[in-house]
Amino acid sequence: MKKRKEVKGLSPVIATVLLIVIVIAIALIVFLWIRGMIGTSVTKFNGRNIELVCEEVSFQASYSEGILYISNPGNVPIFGMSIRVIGEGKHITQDIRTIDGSNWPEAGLNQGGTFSSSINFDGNEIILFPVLIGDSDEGRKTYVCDKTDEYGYTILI
Amino acid sequence: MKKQNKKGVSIIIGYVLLVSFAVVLGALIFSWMKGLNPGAGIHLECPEEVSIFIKNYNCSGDQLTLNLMNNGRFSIGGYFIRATTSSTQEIATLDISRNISIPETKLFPTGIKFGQISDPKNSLSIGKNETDKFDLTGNYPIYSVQITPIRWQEEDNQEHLVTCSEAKITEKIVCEVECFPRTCDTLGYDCGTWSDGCEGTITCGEYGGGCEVGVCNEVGQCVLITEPIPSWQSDGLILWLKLDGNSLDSSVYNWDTTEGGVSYTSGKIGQAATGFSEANKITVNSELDYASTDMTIAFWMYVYDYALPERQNPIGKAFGGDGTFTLESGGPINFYFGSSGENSYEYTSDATGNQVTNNVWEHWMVTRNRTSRTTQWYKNGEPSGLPFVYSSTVDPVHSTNALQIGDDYVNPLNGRIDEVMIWNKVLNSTEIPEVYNYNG
Repeated sequence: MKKRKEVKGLSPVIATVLLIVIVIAIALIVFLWIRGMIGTSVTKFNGRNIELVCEEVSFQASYSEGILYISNPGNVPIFGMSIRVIGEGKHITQDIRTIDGSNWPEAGLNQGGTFSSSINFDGNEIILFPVLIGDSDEGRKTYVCDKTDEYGYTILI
Repeated sequence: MKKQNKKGVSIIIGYVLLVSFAVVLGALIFSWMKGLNPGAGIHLECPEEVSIFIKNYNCSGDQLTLNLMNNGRFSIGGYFIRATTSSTQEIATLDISRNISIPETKLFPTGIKFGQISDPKNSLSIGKNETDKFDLTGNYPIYSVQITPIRWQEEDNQEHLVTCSEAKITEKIVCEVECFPRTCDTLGYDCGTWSDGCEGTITCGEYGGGCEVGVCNEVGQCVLITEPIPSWQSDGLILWLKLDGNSLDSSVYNWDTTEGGVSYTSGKIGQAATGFSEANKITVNSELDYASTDMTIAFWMYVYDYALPERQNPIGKAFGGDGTFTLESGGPINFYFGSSGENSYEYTSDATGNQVTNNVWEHWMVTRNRTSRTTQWYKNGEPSGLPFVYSSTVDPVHSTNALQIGDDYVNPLNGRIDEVMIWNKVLNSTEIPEVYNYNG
């Protein structure tokens, strides 16, 4: 019987190099994809993830006779306030810094800071979410602590 | 034949590569996980045993005095003080730290420091107290104050200001601002409503200080009240003899008149003319024309006796021209006018539906519309009789006779006459009662 001739497609060296390159490429792609899904990390107070800082935010708010009152008795400066106005079958989100007539301080509410301003809301309920400012790879960046159950402050108008 | 053992990379290189991958991946994962570590970064937290309370307070005049005591287990550095300005306000937002009596020694950007600025931090020791005074002049009344103690603490080799929100206290206090009469000057504007603790309204001219008598406009300035001129005064009025001691014409035409020896006595508005005779009567420039256009004539008349003498002329120009009024002996007034332009035929007349009442001031008015050839009498602002339609043959023609007040072609008026007005238009239903109700 005629002995079959042994044929090889790639040398072992080339095969190994290819394997390593493919693994690295796939690992890199997966890492970047996961990182993108998680989003850019924003930190505050010397490297704390700002999402964790949200848990330490403490503020009080009330709405009476068309005036919105907010005070910050905590230790986390509140840069802004995102307001979700809920009406009949609709809701809109407003930034307190851009609402007409609002005199929100440019630097936000620092420790002990207070705010009161005459603001009209087209709805029957508002939820306040504190906005913090922190550091990221892209520079200073704001972060809305928008978990309704944990950070939202609901006021019935 | 022994098979040759071929390898792509050496074992050493393989290990190096493996370790490098592990280190790189580890570094990446570490940097990512670092931010999620709850223990990382600075934690500003006030000790639980920090406590402060208001030992006593006093509010007199415009000054609030607070005596604060440290009743906790840690020394305190200072405090934030906020106040409410109404009983319905739930959250204290008015920062009165700026009103502290000696701000240069105690005030830092957002609060007040115990002791002096130069003193060591956290200078209010356990069990100690400190009194601070606040000037409330010009502030709203205070219903409550909220005190939040603060401390300086070292964290991560840095000193940080820490708010002790758990030790925050709220105290209801009664601190009314002393109210006093405000003037325009103290308010900074002429008039309006203020709400700086003594809510009220200052009306123009009430307290002087630059205010004028008038109304307050939307930017707090007094504006003199100027009532709008009614249309019956501004439009079409060609003669207005007020007869207040003279026979001057108050219309914009300012017609020449002659006194004619009449006398003046108390009238319906101011004075009225009386004492008429053939010689004593007021005359008006003959160019006054109320024949060529629509017209309205109005006057107040107080008749002593409409029957004596018979047929009296309160106003006349030409019964065959512009028109003449004749008080008939039975009491009605006839308005004669015609196309001859003089006291002759051809003429017609329209009589009042009501009679004149002796010794009573009555307002009489007659309108004439040349287009519809209709006249209508009014007594005291109400129609007197039905509209009278006249023939085209008596379309009124202007007379060169002078207008005479108090006498004309028959007998002088036995009574007084006041506020004689003539328009070159027919007054409308709004203007007629306005003229009647005009009281000067």
